[in-house]
Amino acid sequence: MSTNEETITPAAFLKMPDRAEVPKFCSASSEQDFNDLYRTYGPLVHGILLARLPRDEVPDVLQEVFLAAFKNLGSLRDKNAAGGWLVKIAQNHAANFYRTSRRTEELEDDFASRSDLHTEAGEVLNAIKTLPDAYCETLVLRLVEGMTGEEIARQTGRTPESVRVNLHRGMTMLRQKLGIEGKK
Amino acid sequence: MNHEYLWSKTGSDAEVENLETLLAEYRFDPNSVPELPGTNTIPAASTSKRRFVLGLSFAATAAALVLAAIWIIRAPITSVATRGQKQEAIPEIIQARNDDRVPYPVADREKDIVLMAEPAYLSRPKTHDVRSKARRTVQTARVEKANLTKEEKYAYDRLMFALSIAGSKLRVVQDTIDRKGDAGPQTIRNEK
Repeated sequence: MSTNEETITPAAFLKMPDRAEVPKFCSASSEQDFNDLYRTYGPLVHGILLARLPRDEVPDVLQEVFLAAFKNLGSLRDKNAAGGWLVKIAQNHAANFYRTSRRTEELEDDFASRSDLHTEAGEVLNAIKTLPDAYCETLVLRLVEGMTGEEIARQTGRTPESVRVNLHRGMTMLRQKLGIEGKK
Repeated sequence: MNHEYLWSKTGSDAEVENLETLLAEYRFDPNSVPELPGTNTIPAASTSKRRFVLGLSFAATAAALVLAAIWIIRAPITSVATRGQKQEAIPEIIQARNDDRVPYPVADREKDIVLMAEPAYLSRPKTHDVRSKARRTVQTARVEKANLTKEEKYAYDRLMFALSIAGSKLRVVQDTIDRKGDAGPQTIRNEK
């Protein structure tokens, strides 16, 4: 089989079986390929960034992550590692945001009265962000992005057992934070 | 809490479902695909400019390599020629010096070079040459002694005998002087 000589588009790569190895991407990647990549791994990267960054910064950094990933997609040889690879890129961009960003913004006049800071959703999200990174990321992917435990494990490259443990321990800690322990 | 719902969304868990509903507003929007920068819309002008710069740099590099190769090839020839010119210049200088001292008959050019390669002030006799010359003189004297007459031989022997006696006497005197000098004034007084 001469797979080493073949080229393939990222879109076709994403549709290949899980165990397949991709030898080389074709150099001329189209916008459709980028859209496919974005829709497939968007929730994963969005959840990782949402767990680490201020919510307003997530869209911009998300775009940067996907552009960087799309630019370097040719260096990815194993489809099974694509999720973990994207997670790593997202984590690096989040770290770079705090390392290099000195952004300051003037507070708006109605800042104190903005409803999203005091909504129940905002409080829950802030409570999740106070958890350790492993629990925080897993809970965001599960509760915000709506991914199942199996999907989280497959896309992040973690074992299902560790994802299950993180989900349950994180949920227990979140209950304590929100003061809803005992409610069942 | 329904652990199965938390893991695989099977069954139901009101608490988790409530959290999902609350946090859904922060969920990823698949329709908000960012615009991909125009990777395929590179202006033709910039492409041609890049090609021109690339070609120019390539030509400059090639020219530099050719010049370096020429310089490397020609460098040994130039150095040999320079050395030959120096070798020709040396006899002229020496000739000028010798001309100041004695008139020098100029023969053909090659002979001049050979002769002036070792000028007079550079060909000084060595020590071993002097010794061998003295040895040859003594041998000549011995050969000449064999040709003397009886009277001449007798005179020669007497002369040599007298010279040996004089030499021994001088040696005794010298030894005495040396001993007195080493002993000091007290020794000299006792000897008296």
